[in-house]
Amino acid sequence: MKEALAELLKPVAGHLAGFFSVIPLWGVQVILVLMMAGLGGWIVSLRHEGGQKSPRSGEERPGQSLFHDLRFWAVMLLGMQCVLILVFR
Amino acid sequence: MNRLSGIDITIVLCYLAGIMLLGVWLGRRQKTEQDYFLAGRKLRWWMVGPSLVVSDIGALELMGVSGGAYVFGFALANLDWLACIFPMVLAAFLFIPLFWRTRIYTIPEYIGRRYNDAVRTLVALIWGCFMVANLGIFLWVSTQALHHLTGLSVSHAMLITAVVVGVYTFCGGLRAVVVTDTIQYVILVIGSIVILAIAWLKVGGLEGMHAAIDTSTPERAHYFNTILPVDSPSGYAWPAVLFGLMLVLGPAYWGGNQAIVQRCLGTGSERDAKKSVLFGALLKSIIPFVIVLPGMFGLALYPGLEKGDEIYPTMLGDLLPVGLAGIVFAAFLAALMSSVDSYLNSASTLWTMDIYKRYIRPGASHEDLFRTGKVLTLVFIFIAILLAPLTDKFEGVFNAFVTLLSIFQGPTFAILLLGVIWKRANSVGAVAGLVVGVTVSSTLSYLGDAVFDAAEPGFYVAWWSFASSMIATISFSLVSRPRPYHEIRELMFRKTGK
Repeated sequence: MKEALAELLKPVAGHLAGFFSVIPLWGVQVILVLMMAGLGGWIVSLRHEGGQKSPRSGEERPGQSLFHDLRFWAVMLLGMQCVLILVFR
Repeated sequence: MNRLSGIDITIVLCYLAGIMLLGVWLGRRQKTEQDYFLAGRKLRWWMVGPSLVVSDIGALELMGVSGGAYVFGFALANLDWLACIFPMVLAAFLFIPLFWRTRIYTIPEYIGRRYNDAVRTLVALIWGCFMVANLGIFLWVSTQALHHLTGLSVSHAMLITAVVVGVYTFCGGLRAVVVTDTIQYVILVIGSIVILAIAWLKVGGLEGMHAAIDTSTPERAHYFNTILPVDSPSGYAWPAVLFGLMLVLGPAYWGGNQAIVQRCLGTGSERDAKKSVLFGALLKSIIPFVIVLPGMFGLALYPGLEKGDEIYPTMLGDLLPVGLAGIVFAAFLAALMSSVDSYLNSASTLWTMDIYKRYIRPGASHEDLFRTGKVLTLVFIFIAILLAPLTDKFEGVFNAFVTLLSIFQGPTFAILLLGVIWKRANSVGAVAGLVVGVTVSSTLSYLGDAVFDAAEPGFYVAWWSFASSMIATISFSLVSRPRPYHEIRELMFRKTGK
């Protein structure tokens, strides 16, 4: 049973490995950086994340500075990840 | 390997006693299940961030990752970078705010509200068994560390570990777990930096390490790289890391693991919940320098170790002076215990809220749930003691953990993700997704290296189980009746917020 299943799946795994091995390692770096950029772009497209509660209504209102916006910190983290990918390859 | 001196052992015992007393003190005013399981929703983001990290570090990083770095090299940094930063940022904006707003206690509770009770029970049982099994793994790691460094017998070491963790988790619940984790994080990072600094000086810095490690063999050809080619035999080839780790296991862990999410649910506001995860991601980014690098320096210093997992305790025992070794070992042991305490508390929460409250006593009072949670904490630590020796049958601790993760995390994450982002997903699709996903992951884990070239194909298994589960959930949802949108609207991510 195990051998039959392995015989069936092994060529598929081989084809996929062959496909991925064509991509150079610098190309992998580019893919990873693009993924970070994509997530960063999605986060920036979300509503303002610097909400502080209004003392009157209790509703959240936009923060006073960029540093209160959690989206800013998220993008900084993703930027840092890009640097790590590029430096420690 | 040097054993700890009498002074060091005294320091370790004092530290552990202090942690236990702190847990008892923090639990003195708890009366309801919300106090016990969610710390009364009063946790602050700067406490939860380190707690998230140290719970993840626990057994995994110290023994498994430093041991993995000893064998495979710097690619292990991906476990903290690609597997954490991207998924944590994603979780902070996609999953955590939604879970916090819905005021849930457990992930299966969310699944139950989003799909139905059958799916909730299925997921609760999967997670419940998974967490208890993991408790055994983590307890075994802690026991081994104590055994190697103090010379205690395995049974005594296990008893001490179980008593310490059991007492403070039993008495203090999530609050004790988070507060002790925060203390442990600080001491552990300082201790690891000291180990790194001493190893650095002994080896002669990065240049000395490069000179000492022979990279001419195929196994070590990419020892200093993080992105490994497809034919790498390590299991950390880039497709495995990208698809299995970064896109499945990472997000599943940071956005769908009960032990992780539960801490965020214990914060006082949605914003604090998000901040805690982002802060955790920042803290995570420094971990490779204090955990992975020492493992690599360890290869230069101790090239002949039989098991890579022994490197961190070996360096701790050999490199640190008397007194400091005791402090760092105490933090090391406590960090190992943090995995046990996290899973102990979360397993107790899950079985209390998703099984006991749902099926055994639906009308249970807050006090009853509180008492049940405490009793289950004790029950699970006993089960962990029975399961722990089984871990020795796996080659490495981290591999044991990955094997368990890869079987369940992919399928459960697939239905969680679709539940959050796709309104058409329904209970028929979710059940089909779980069945197909777990079947695929079990089969691929069984086949192992007969199909995959990598020695440990856990990341590939995670990806394929996730992908098959997604396909099954989508297919079966499309051919069955969807739930009306107004019933699930509040349970789904919406870009416009509230």
